[in-house]
Amino acid sequence: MKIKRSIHTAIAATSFIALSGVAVQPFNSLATASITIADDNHDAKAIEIINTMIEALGGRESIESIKSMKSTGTISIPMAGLSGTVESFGMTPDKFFLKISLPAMGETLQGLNGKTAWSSDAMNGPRILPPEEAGDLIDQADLHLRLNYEEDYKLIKFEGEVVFESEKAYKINLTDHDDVESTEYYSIESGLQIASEIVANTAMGVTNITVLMQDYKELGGHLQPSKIIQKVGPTQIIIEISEVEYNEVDESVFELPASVKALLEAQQAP
Amino acid sequence: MTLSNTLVHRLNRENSLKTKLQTYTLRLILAAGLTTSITLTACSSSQEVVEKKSSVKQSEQARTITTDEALADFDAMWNIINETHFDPEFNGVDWEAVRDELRPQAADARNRSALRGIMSDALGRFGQSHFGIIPDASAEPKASKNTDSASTQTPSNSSIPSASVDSHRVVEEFDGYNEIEVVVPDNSATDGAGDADTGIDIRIIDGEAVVSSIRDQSPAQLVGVRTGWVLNAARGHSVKAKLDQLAKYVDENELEIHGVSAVKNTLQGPENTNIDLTFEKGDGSLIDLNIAREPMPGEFVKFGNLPPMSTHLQWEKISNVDPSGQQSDIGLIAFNIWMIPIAPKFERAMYELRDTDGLIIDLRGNPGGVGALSSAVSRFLVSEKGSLGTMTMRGTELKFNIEPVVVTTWGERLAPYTGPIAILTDAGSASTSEVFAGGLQSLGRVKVFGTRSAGMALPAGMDKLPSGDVLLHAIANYVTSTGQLLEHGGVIPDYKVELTRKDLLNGIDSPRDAAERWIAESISE
Repeated sequence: MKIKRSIHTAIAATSFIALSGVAVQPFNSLATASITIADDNHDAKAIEIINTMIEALGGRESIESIKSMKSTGTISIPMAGLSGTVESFGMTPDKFFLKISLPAMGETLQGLNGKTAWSSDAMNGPRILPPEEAGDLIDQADLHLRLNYEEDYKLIKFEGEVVFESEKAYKINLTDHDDVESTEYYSIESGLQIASEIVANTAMGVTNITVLMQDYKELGGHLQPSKIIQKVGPTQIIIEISEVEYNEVDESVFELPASVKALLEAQQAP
Repeated sequence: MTLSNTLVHRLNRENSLKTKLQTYTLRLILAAGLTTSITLTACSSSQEVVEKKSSVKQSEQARTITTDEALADFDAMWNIINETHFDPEFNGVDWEAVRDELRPQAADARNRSALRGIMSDALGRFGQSHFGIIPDASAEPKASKNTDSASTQTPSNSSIPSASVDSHRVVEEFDGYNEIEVVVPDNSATDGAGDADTGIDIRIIDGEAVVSSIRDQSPAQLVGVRTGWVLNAARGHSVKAKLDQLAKYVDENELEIHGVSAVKNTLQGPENTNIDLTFEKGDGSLIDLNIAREPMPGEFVKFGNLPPMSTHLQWEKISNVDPSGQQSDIGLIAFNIWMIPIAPKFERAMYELRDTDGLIIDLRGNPGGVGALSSAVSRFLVSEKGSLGTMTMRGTELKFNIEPVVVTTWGERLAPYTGPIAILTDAGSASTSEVFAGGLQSLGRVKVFGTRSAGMALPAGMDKLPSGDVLLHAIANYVTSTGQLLEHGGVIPDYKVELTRKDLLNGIDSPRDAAERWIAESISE
C-alpha cells in the first residue's frame, strides 16, 4: 500500500523552548531519481534534471547495489542550544531505525520493521505511527526510492530556473498519488539536489518543512549530502553525517522495543 | 510602516516604555524557568534607575568591549528577531527604527552590562513575554551532585559550584541595575548563588512576602517556621520596603512573579551556609531565626542554552471522608518546572494514582519549561485525541496534539485517567503551565482553581549570541483549541480562590481545599 508521503517531524514547540522529538528527513538521500520516459505528466526537462542527479551520484547501478546502510553523525538544534548524536539504519525495501540522543532529552527512537512504523521517546512514550505519519519512515527504508520516481509521482513538472539560498537552481514540482505536492531544487552547477519543500504530516499536525542538502561528500564510497538542515518555521535542525557503512546492517536492529510490542498488542486486542 | 505602527512606536517612546521593557525581559526569563534569578535581577529594573546609574557608570568605567564586539551581539539579536518573530508586523513595533535608534548606543556601550541594557530596551518594545538576554555566565553549567545524568554536567572540585561564583560575579556586574530587583541587598557572599535553600516557599499577599509552604524536614521546618508568617527581613534588610519599591513599577500579577523570584533568590545559597531571617508571626510578634540551607530536592538539569535548573515532582494520595461517611481518595501531583525528568515521574505518579477518585495538579509557582511536555503529560488525562492549542510561527503552525496513553513506557497497560481533575494556578504559573491548564480547560477536561496565571504564554527559542549571551525570543503565538489567547490574559480560573494569610496561619490551603471539595461533589454526583 502506498502511504501518503510525509515527514515525521516532531519539532515541538517548546515553549517554550519546546521540542519534543526531532525530525528525520533523508539520511538516505542517495536514493535519488531515475526516470527514463518523458510523457505528458513527467516533462522532459524535469526528467533530464533528475537523471543528471542520478549520474552525479554514481549512476543507477551504483545505487542499486546498496541493500542496507548505517549513518552516524551529530544533530543540533541551535535555537534550543541542543546538540547530540544520531544513528540511522535502513534496509531496503522496508526497514528503518533511527536513534537520536540529546542531553536532557534522552533518546528519541523511530522505526519501521516492515510492518509497523513506531516511535518512542522520554516524553511521549511508545507510539504506533498512523499512516499519515509513517510515510517518511517508509520512504527512508526504501534505499532505491527515487529510482522509481515515475511510480511514486503522478506529476513531475519543471518550473524554471530560480535562485535558492544564493545558488542557481532548477525547480521541480512533484505531485504524488495522494495529490500531495512537494518541490525540489537541483543545483545547476553540480546537478545535485540541494533542497526540498514539503507539506508534512507530523505528530503536531500538518506543517511546512524545508530540507536543505549540503556539503556533498564521498562517505563509504558513495556521494551524499553530509549536512542536512531541516527548517520548520524559524526552527532549524542540523544533521551532520560523519560516517556511512553500506550493506553491513544486522536485521536485528529493526526489532520492536518491548514497550512498542506491548502497545501493539494492546491496540490489537479485542 | 503603517500609521498605526508609527503611532505605537511614538507612544512607546513618549511613555518611556523602557521601564516596562526591563520587566518584560524578566518575564521571559521567568517563563523559561530561570529560578536562579541572577539574570532576572540584571534585566528588570526601572529604566529611570538604569539610566541614572548607568550614565554615571558609563562615564566612570573603562571600556571592556570593543565596538565590533558590541555590534556583533546587537546585530545578531536584531537579525534573529527580524527573521523569527511570529508577527511580520512585530506587534506594531517599527523594528527597523529600533535598530536605527539603538545601534549607535550599542556601538558606544562600554561593557557587557550596558550593552545588555540596550538590547533589553529593544526587546522590551514588543511588550510581549519571552524576550530577553541571559548573560553568558548564568548560562554556564552549575555543578551539583544532583545533576541529572542525562545532562552530563562536569562537577566542580570546589565546594562552591564554579558557575555559582560566576553568577555572583554577574550580580555584582549588574549592581547598577538591581536596586529594585534584589529585594535584599546582596551583602552576603552566598545569597542567591547556590543550589540550596531553607525549604521555605513564599507568595506575595497584600504586598508582603508570606510563607506559603515549608518542605518537610527542611531546616526551616526544623527551626519552627510556620505558614502564614511574614518574612520581614533578611540579613536585617526590610523585605517589605523593597517589595513596595518594586510595586511602583509592576502590576499586581507581576509583583507576585517578580517579588517571589527575588525573595526566593535571596533565600538560596550554597549548601552549608546560613541566613538570618526575621519573621512576623500570626500574633504580630517578631522572631529572628538563623536558618541553614540544604540542597534543593530533585535533579539539576541543564536544557540547551538555559542554566541548570532544579526539577522535582511530588505526588501523594489524600483520603477524605465526607459528613455522610463516604471516603474518597484524591491524588495530588505538584512539580516545579516542565523539564524532561518530570515526564517519567509524572507517568509513575499517574500509574500509582490511577484508581483514585479525583486528581489535583498543583502548578502554582511553576514558571513553565519545555512546551511539548504539556501534550506528553496530557495524554494521561484525556481519553480521546485532542489538542491543547496551536502555536503559529512565521510561515507555519504546529499543534499541541494529545494522543491518549495506552501502555506505559515500561510496557504495562494504562488507561487515561477519567476522574475529575482540578488544576491549581496562581500568578507564578507561566508559559507551559498556562498552555497545559488553559488547553485542558478549553477542552472541558479540567476545572482551574486559584488565581489568574501569569499571561506569559509564547513559545520561544534561545539562540546563542557571538559573546555567549543567550537571546530568548518568542517565535510563535499560542491560542487554545477554542481560540483563547493566553498571552497577557492568562488562564482565568473557573473558581477564583485566593490564598490568604489568615488561612495559611491556620494551616489551610484554600485553593487546594476548594479543589478537594469540588472533587468530592463531583464524585457524589
